[in-house]
Amino acid sequence: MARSSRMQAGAGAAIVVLLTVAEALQLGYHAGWVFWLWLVGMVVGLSLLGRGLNGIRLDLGTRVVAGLLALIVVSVLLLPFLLVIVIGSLESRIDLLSGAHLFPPHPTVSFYGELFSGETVFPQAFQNSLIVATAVALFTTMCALLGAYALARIRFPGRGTLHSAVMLTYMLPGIILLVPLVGILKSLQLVDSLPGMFLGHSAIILPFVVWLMVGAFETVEPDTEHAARVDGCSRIAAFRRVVLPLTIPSIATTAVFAFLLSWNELLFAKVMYISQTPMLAPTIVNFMDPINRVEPQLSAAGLVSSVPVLLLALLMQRYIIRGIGEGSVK
Amino acid sequence: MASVRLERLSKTYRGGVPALADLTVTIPNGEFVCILGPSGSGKSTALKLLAGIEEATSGRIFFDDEEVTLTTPERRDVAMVFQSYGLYPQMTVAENIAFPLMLRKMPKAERARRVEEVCKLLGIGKLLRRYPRQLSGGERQRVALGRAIVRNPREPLSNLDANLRVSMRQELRRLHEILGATFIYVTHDQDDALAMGDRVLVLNEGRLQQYDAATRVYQYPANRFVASFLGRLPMNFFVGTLHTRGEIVMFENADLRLAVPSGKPPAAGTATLGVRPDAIVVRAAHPGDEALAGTVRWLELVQPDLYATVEVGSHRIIAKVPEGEPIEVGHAARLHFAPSKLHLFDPTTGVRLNPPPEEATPAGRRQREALA
Amino acid sequence: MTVTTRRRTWNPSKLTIRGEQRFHAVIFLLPTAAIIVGLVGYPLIYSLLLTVRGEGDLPGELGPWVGLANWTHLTSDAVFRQSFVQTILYVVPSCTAAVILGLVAALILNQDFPGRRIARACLLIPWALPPVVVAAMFEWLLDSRRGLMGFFITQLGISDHYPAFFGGIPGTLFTLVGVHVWKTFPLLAIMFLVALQYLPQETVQAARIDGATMLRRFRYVVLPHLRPTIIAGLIIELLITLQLFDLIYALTGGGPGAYSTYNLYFYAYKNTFEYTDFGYGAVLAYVVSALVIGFALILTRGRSARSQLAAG
Repeated sequence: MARSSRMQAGAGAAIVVLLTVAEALQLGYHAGWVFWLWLVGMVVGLSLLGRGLNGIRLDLGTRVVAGLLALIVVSVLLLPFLLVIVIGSLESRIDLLSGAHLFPPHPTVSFYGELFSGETVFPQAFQNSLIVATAVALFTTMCALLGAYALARIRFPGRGTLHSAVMLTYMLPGIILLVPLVGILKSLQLVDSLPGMFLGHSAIILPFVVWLMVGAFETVEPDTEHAARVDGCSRIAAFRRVVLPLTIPSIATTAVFAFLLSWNELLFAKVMYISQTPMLAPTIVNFMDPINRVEPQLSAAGLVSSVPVLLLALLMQRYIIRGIGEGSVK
Repeated sequence: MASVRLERLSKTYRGGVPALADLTVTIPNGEFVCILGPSGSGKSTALKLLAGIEEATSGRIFFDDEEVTLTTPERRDVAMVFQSYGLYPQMTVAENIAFPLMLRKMPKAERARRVEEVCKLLGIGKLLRRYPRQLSGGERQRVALGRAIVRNPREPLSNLDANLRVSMRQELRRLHEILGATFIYVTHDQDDALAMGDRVLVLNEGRLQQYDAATRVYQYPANRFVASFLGRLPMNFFVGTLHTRGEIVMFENADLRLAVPSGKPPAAGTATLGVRPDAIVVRAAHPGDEALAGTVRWLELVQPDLYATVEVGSHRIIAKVPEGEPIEVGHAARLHFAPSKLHLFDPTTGVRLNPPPEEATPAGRRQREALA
Repeated sequence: MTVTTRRRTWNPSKLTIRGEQRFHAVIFLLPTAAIIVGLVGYPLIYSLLLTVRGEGDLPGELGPWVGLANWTHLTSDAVFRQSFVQTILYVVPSCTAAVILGLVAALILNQDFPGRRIARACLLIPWALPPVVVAAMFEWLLDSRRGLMGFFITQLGISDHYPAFFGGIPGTLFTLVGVHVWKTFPLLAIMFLVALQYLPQETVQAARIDGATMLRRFRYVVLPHLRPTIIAGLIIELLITLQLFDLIYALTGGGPGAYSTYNLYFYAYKNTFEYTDFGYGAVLAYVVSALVIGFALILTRGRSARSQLAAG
């Protein structure tokens, strides 16, 4: 029994290694069929390897194969970003002309300097987006906090209607609000200004945030709140002392979502920007314009734009994953 | 510390179905009352109305003659133990119990003293630093109780809705004795209710069925529902007619004829007769035994007694087998009815027809009439 | 007959239960309601009016009443039809591919291997990245002369030239589908991963003991357990893809050719902001909204698909 497992594993490993070597060897010859043979061979070889290793020790094969496959998954997820954005930003002008390559022969960070030198609107766009996204995240979360609690836990006339209204509005595509929204902001003389951006984004993002928070409040046991009332809390005191502390993770996650939505938002930011308030997303699109496109600078801009949101996602990953999961498993 | 009076208390939720209808009852100060009823009977609703978590649709609530119908819960000075305990997950046990005191701005030292008192009372001293999620169900129950009694409120309420272990029942009664406050306890378990309550309030479908001392609710059920709800084994019911033979009222149907003594049952009309299985004794058939005859179909041990299902005509009657009696399935047997434990009910309304002894109290009579 | 006196005061310390409820409801809801009514409700109605009015004096203003002319224009508009069809062409492959890839990724990442935590954290990357950055990334990656993708393809021997990812009709549309799937499948993978945590291990063990191979175990134990999550994933992907805009705008601008990568949302954008035909643009916006809300309502009855807009 052990012998046949070892044979299997050996055979599998052999197939994987040999075919990979063959594929690597044909690099110079462009013989297309080798690739497909390699692909098929990988499947066969890995299954044999997996099965064999499983026979040797429980689940060892599954783990090894899963690990290898996970490498592929992670590469798919990571490589585009790493290669294009991270490494791409390090290319120098000379390298650009030398054709396609994996790692720039003469890496430089000069483009980062150019990016922030004041010749482009990028620094201002970055700052604007930071200000607006933070403000929107804080403001919408706080409004939603109160409103969602009322919707979730207070019985009042018209509650059902309002609940349905919120449900409907959060699903609306932003474009339907854009023209009138800009019109309102124009009459308030807030177009192309940071407060205008802030208001517009809040309008677009608030319904979604409220909906998220309603869900969060609904998961709090009503009895806990009732207990606080009976113990002597007024409704507001019960809210402050008992309900809120229990929902802090959800509140934080919601704030991150709101930040993300505002930071990544393209259409409204573009429409509102005439000359005074560049925002990140439209600026990047402008960098993509083939006329004045400088690839490494675009990559550098991309990297800098991604860092805040990636950091936030990383910091909050446990809560974000839980939030996404809860939303779908229920 | 206060008596509770309910006056025509009703609650209907959106959607129309009344959860509680016209409940009128007075609970004297210091009593331990159990509210008993099946699910959906309105007992949880009654508790919520008493605590102030819900607002009544109509009717009034009085604590010691002070109307509290519309008062918000935090001003009512009740305490409540919830079905799910309602412990604050983010606080330690000590903080949980101290919470009501902290809200009333009691100084720290005093708070600690009270918490310690309560813990000694309930035996949870070593749990003080733990969090609710680290506790077992029983421990959580005690913490919830502790929080409820720590401020000696007017009314401790409880909606534990679970079979309490015998030890927990004794604890609750002991607490009641020590505190002397009015306890209201909600349950669907009749063993709990009969074991703990001074009085039992039976609810069904939002309506009061009977409010009486525990023993009387069991021995003299006010209507058919109460009769069938209480008692571990189902009550035997027979439909038949009443007629008088001389001084005695007789109950008769196709298969049996019984005398219903005393209690002043009505002289004529149709009635439903109810008899508990432990009020009927099965004996092996003897010549000369004139009691009701039937065939034994089934024997069942319901600790600590043996019960037989006896077929009499179209009836299947469950009756108790006295110890040592030679009863076997398939054999003939005779059923002896205990005459003082026969209950008569109106076949349509289910209301009790033969009033129990001492049925002189105007309150009891009024109650019965109110149920008709 | 009881008369219950309800004290009608607004002093919070004297409120009745119901009075307090209403008072607090108003306070808690005021900011949210103000924004939703003022900045969402009003624009919604205004947009509706735009659909039935002609040009005003200033762009965006309501002009004279033109009835349903803008709406009937839909029936005669070939570009609308094409956008509609192409929207379906975006949606169907995206949903299928995202769910399949998400499932595969979740199954792989659900196993126990060293570095599992890091691998799962990587799932968040495509989700968190700004769509425009993703667009820039893939534009370079898939460049037909110097893109790394083409480089690998030729090196691996699959083809002998760099494929023109953004050149062909309808090929470009499917390239966009690919990019979009790259961005959204990890979200579904996370959903599936969480659902897999709840897979009852006893059932899996029982199947193993019964002699089921990995494939059988998957088909008869895992897949049925995941069914609700798969459906939720399909719905989420559907709703996100219906509103796909950023990638189209950044990568192709609707081309190549005239309208080969249009979808309804993009067409609505074009009409509103480039042709400045606000009435017709509003009509299209309403069509898109109707599709989104319609599908969402019909398909999510009783389900909650909370994070659907999180990725877009």
